[in-house]
Amino acid sequence: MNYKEEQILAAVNLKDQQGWELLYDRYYAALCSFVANILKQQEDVEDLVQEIFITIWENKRIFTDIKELTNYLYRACYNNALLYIRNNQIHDTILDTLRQKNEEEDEEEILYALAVKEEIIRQLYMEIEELPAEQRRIILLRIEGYSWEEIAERLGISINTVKTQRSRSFKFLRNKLGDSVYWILLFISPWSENLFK
Amino acid sequence: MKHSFNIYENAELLKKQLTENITEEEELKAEQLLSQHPALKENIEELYKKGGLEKAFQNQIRFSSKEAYRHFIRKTQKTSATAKCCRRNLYRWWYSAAAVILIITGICTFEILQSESKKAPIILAPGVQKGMLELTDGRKIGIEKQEVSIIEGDIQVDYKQGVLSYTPAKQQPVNQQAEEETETSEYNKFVIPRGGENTVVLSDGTTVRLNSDSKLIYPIRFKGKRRMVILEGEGFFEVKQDKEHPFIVRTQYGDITVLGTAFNVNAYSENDACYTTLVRGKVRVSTPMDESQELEPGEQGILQLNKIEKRTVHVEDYTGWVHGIFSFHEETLENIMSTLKRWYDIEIIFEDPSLSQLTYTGTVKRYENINSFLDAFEMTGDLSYKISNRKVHIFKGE
Repeated sequence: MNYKEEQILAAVNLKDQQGWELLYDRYYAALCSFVANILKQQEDVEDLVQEIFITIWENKRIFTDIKELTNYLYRACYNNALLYIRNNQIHDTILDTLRQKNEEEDEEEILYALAVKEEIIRQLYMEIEELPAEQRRIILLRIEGYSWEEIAERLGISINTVKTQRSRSFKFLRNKLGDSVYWILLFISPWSENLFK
Repeated sequence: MKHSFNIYENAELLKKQLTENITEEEELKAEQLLSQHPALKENIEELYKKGGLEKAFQNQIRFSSKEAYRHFIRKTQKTSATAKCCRRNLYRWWYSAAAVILIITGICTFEILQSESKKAPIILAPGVQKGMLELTDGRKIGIEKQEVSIIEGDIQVDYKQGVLSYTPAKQQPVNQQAEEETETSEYNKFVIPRGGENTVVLSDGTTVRLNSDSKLIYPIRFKGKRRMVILEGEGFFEVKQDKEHPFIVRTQYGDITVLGTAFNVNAYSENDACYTTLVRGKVRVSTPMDESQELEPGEQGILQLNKIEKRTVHVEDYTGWVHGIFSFHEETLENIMSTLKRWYDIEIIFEDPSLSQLTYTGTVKRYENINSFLDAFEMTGDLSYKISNRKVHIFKGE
């Protein structure tokens, strides 16, 4: 567990209201996205996730480590989403899609896959948050969908030199992984001269 | 969702694969995981597609946690005035209420504040770095915040930034074992009181982190075939590797012999046993009768004068203190409290003896004051506590 994760765990277990800001910061969006994927709509998604946080706040449960807490959160979302679907007679959810495809028995597998996917993104996002300001800004702009040229323009830096030097060594990676992972390479190695050797 | 699904760990593994920051062993595990779960594989492949990752990110950043957190504060503040669990917020509320009355009336405030201070909890701070060093000539030096620098024989003894270290002034030829096995009389003794901790680096480079209420006796320079130290209480050892000169920790319950490794020794006399927990490497624990057993990482040897037991444990429960946390798995309150009383230098009184046998699992920060620790227990509803004169009274929860 890293320091931030320990902080979150302590805040959750000790019901430290201020410490919960970090919990929200690190989990809320991922859980919302997970629930929105299940319901295939955005309505009530946030209320549903908020409810889970409040339940934990009022609960006496103590979490041993961050894994247990994380698994608990996704499971709680899953359970509440199913309950919501049943109570509100929602159709056209991911469950309906599965039923049409006759893959009902795989329901758990599919939802587990969705949870892991969100969790990967969440963990990546946390790593980005730990980056020095400039690297973080570049990557966050990239996530928001800006092109390299637009980013260079916005930040007033020259990306062209960078691009030419970089392309040789990363060419095979780019072919293999596709453009979307390309920027991740920026934070595996530090944003520095020797990155482009 | 099935409980066998470990979302956090699986995601961590696949994230490493995605960022190509993965070992061969992990790569195999990741492949195995994906082949076992076709649906997962399908979803992960989407991330590898062009634009897939950006899309996944954008799905999350649509949601803002800031507003949600504000909503959470509004909602929980309302309930905290009535909910028993949020005692600390209740105090905050009381204090602000008192402040308002102060402004409005300005008369009856004195009484209110007085009654408030009666209700306010007594805060007991955690342990700090301190200790008493006994030199070869019997001199005693208090080791706390101040830096110390002395010379003993040909050894430079320094205390800087919380670490006591022994550096040989000049390198002596290693094979000069003229006085074989004659353990020199040049010993120092480092005594850590209750409510303290400290670190010492011995002349061979071995680091020992000493816990509260512990004592370590060691030669200022190791001579002979063995490197031997004597421990009472608890210490975390990171032994400098030296196959020629085995490192031995002697306790009143037996010896721990080492070749280069990290492990924790807990040999408080009130335990009636010495618990050795191995983090990495290999050690052998032996009784004074020379019965012995080897330990693998993650294993714990329990020495009790004439017998040895071995078991697998949560290493973090025994070494967490080195990293600033208390961790425990299904531990009795009695055992948890016996650790606490040394660190916070307090007495624990169970007003209801049955409480001492309650078991808990959890992790708490070690450098917090004891109240946050006890609050966590109180929140379970099992118990309540009162502090007076460094004594903590534990009552049954109402």
